[in-house]
Amino acid sequence: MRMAPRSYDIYRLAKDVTPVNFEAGELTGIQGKAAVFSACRVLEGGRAGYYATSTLGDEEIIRRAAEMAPYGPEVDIDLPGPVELGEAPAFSEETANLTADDLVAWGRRITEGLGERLGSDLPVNVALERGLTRKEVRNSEGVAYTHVATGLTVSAELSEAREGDIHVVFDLACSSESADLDPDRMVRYMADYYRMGSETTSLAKGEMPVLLHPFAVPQFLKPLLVGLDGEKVKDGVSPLVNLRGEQIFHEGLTMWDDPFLPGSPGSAPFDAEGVAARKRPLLARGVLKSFNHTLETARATGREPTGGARRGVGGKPAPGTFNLVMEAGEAPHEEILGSIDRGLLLRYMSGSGQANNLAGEFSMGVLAGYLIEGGRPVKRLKSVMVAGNVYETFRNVAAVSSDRIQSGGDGGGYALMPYVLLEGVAVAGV
Amino acid sequence: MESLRKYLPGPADFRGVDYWEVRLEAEAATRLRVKNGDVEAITPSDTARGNVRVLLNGGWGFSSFNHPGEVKEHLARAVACARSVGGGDARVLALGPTEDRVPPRCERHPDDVPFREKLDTAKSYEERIRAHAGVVTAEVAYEDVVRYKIFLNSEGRLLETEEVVTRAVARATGKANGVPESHAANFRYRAGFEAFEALGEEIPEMLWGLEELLAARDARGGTYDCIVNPELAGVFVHEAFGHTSEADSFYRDPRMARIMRRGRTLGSPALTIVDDPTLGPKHAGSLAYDDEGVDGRRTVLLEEGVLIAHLHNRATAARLGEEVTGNARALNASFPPLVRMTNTFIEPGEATFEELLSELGDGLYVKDSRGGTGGEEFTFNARVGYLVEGGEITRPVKNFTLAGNLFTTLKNIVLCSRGREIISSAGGCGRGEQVPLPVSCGGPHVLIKNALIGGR
Repeated sequence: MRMAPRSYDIYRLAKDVTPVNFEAGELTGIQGKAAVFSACRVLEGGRAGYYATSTLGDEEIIRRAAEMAPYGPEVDIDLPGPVELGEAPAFSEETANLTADDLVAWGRRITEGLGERLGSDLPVNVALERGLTRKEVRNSEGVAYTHVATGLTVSAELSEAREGDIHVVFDLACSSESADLDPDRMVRYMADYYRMGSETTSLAKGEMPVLLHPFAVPQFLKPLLVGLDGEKVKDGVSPLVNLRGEQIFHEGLTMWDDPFLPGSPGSAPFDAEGVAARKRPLLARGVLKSFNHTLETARATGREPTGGARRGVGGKPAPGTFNLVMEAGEAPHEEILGSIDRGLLLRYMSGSGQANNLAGEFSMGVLAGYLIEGGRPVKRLKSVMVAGNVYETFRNVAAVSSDRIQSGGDGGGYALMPYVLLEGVAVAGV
Repeated sequence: MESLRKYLPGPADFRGVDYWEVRLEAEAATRLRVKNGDVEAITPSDTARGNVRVLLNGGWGFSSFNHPGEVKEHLARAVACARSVGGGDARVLALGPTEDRVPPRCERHPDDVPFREKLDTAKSYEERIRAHAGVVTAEVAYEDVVRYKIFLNSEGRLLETEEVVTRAVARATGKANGVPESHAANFRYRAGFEAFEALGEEIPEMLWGLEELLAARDARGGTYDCIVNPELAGVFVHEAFGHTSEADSFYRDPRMARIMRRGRTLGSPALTIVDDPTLGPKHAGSLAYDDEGVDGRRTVLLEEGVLIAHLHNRATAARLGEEVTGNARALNASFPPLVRMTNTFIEPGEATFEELLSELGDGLYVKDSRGGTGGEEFTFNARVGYLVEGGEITRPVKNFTLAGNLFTTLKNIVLCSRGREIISSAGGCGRGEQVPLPVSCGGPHVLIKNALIGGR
């Protein structure tokens, strides 16, 4: 172990968020949330000490992290020096200047729009949140980066409770650019799904084609994302350890980590360790190209750090991604839908990531899904489950849509996903 | 705590506000993780948080912050937020003034335990796990959190609490046919270091549980009659029934309120369900007061199948004309409280486990949960199960999920065993971004007819 003089880094995250809430169509609350924390790592004597705080100044946090270093893990890394960073515009003046009153007006457009289309007695909850996030990384090698991002998230849920059935329709949109979000589109979309789901059905056990809505794609891909985690690679428990360069999914699937995705609040030119962001493929035509590595997991596995590291109050840097982006396919999703004689459209699942992720297993309940007959969704699924293994299921991809939707991705990240048609997924119902 | 008291505003700062409350807290945490013979991370932290929440003309305003010295400026922001709501119909159920000081319930306070002892204990557990044949990854994580909280509201309720929460996970991973499987002994208690000292006794059973899992084969999906063990019964009662009982999820929805009306028979006569924060330190949901200053109390939600109460905060109780239950809980002072559970469980019945097996005949005995999501349609992943054939437990199975509809399942729980176990696991409850909230859940062994099993 090489003995290095003391070096350190500090990651600081400051958020100012304005949430506005409507319950059953009524504006019930407006909030302002300010939160800040700093996470520090000191490298000394071949070991790392960590400390996180919301209150202490830099000198004190470095002192406390250094105090922990003699007990800490053996870490043999070089902190990055300053480099020219790429452009990751995630700040919008217009979003930053949105007031609570603006958010209230958006909320009313949604509650009133749904009321006009579906009748005013259906309770609609809307949550709107304008966020301003400031990330900073400084280290002993001269890095001093700052990145400011804006974000607007709008989620809406309407529910119709009847004996034996609660029909819930949910939608969510987020962007760093408020201009990207269209409340009227959300109203149309939710009204369409509501009508589509007025009748329910369950299913007999069997296998059928399943069209994943972009919201459901990251839920299905959870075991893959666990397999890509540099910590799991370092421990040798990822099933993908020796599969770099191998075909693991269908050749129709190409997926990137893209830190420069326009309109995503997750875009940033550097990660929580001060590693410069770069766009990199995770899967190229189904071939495994890259894992997610922090400085520490990269060193331990003889790889390069990939950017995308995250740091919270409770931990040391963890591998992650900025924006998971799946490449679009050829046909619009309506056309893919139209080609399905009998199958399922799955929009949102429960139980994602709770099966044996390391084995690639998934076993999830359908929270929002529809039976497709003759090329269109005809009934809402009730008490239906799907199960399988991602490393088998995602080899049987029949189509990827040309249209994509931006949403929240894995573990606080963001995602831009198309619809994905899978063949022969095992389903079971009551 | 004295140091937080000086930041508290007074009634003069809230002129014209109908109801207000201030919560301030200071927290120090120690976290460490030992894996495969190495220290993986030691990540202590020191955090301060606070918020002001006000009700003005029936609309809520809220502002949260980190530095208690900023309380006045956030008080103004909370009032401005409430004014922007521009009036509403929210009100709170009022209580009288009180002052109380709640000490922590621990034998060995984390502040009195040298850091070296915490680390050495974790290392000794990790070594024992690693020494076990077939273990490929051994991992022990330990966390203690000491939190000083102070609450003051417009009713003159002044509550000072010191909470100590200790959490640990001792995990072993093995491989069967190259596929990793892992199992953990774990807990989150409102207790001190003594809880971590006791974890060592659970390691042999945890290692046996790993072998059980490695030997199991994939379950086949379909509809089964099942016996679920206390852990899984607890996950069901928490995820499916408990979340549906949270009155803020339906108090403004007349259709749902009708379905959840008191006096309705929702379950079989075998089923009594309770939420109780007074159970003591080995149950993470235990609390003296909730985050609206309401004292915690036992609430029977379902009695022999009949719905008799809901879980409330002050606003939902006021709107529905019911009693407060002390279930307004926030993850920490950065968040406003939501209606949340504490320790939630099914009361035991009269049957023996053997009687349950014989009543089951053919089906599945399902043990433990890897997690779940709830509501009317619930899903939880089981850790392991056993086929039951002619009342006899036979082969172990794994990789399956138990799912169903809440209201159907409440009627399909036909028999409860004697004895109950309440599990206070290292995980916690999630609702929106407020995760993981310390809770516990459990029950007896429970027989469920016609459960949907998702598997391959």
